[in-house]
Amino acid sequence: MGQQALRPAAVPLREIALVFSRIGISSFGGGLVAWIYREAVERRRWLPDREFLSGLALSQVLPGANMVNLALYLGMQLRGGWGALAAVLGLLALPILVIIAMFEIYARLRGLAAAHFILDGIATAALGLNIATGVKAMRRSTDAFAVAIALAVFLAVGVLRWPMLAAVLGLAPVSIALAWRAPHG
Amino acid sequence: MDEEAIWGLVRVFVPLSFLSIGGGPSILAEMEHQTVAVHGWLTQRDFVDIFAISRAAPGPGTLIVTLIGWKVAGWLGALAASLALYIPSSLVVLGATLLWRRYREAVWRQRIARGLAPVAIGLIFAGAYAVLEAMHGGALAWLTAAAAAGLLLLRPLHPMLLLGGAAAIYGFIFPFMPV
Repeated sequence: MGQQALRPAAVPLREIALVFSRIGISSFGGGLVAWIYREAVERRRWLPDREFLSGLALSQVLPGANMVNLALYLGMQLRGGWGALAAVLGLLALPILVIIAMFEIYARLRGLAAAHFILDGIATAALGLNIATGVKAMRRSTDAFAVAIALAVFLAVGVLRWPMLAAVLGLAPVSIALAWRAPHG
Repeated sequence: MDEEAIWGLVRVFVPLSFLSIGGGPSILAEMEHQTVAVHGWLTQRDFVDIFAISRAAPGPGTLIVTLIGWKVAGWLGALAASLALYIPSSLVVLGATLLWRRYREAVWRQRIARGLAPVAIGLIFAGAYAVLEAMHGGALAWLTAAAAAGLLLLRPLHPMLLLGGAAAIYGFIFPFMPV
């Protein structure tokens, strides 16, 4: 594996796992890119700013949870495959235990109508966060084709409930072809 | 029977792993469809509750698959569903990280990124729409989602503040809701 230490001394695997487990357990509500940035770039100087940002773009475009992808990318840059494994296990181990514990508490409250209703409130607000993410991403892309493709995907998968695989395999190549022809970029 | 359920989880989540361009929200619609309508592992009610828990808990929102696996087949199910969702996309990311270093400034790479972005955006809206539909929450649900989205677009609020606020408001108005 292409292993390149970006800091003079190799970062210990334990340090990678510890930093990411702290990030994982405190990442309530998602979206802690800013915090990963502060730890990795500003405080620990694991890698330069530009390397971090290109990794962030990569992790957003590729399949997979953005935070998990970013952890993989940073771990890989620091210590190759083992670094990536340490980062991801650090990020996920504690939250997995916490989420199962929360589910078990919920399973005991399930009979209460109020519990369902409050969870509805949380779910709708969380969906609002997703919508805001989509709107922000939409604002960033200025191409006309982008709006048309996003709308087509939304209608096909969300409203018409076509199989996602077919919709993505059909529309992604069209979108990439249009991006190819678009004048700027 | 358990073994069958575990392979079922793997068969659902491995393809979704490759399809989760732009992150977990983009596969939410298909996840709901597969787990509720196709396999009948969860009721719509279960799915909405599990989605809410996964967003209120620490860690990435994709840990919803851990809970689906847990609900379907206990620890083994949780493990199988998590690995099925995380390993395929992780291999793609590791491979891409290697290529990325080699072709850092390549134009084709930037064009592919630009072409995939609108697909991911469409999928995010589709996921929010599908789950809001599944909730049968009426105008209140759509209004809450719109208000949360609007607030976050106006101000850089901490997401937890919005989720906590919604929980508090729903807890307060519950006694006044028609049964």
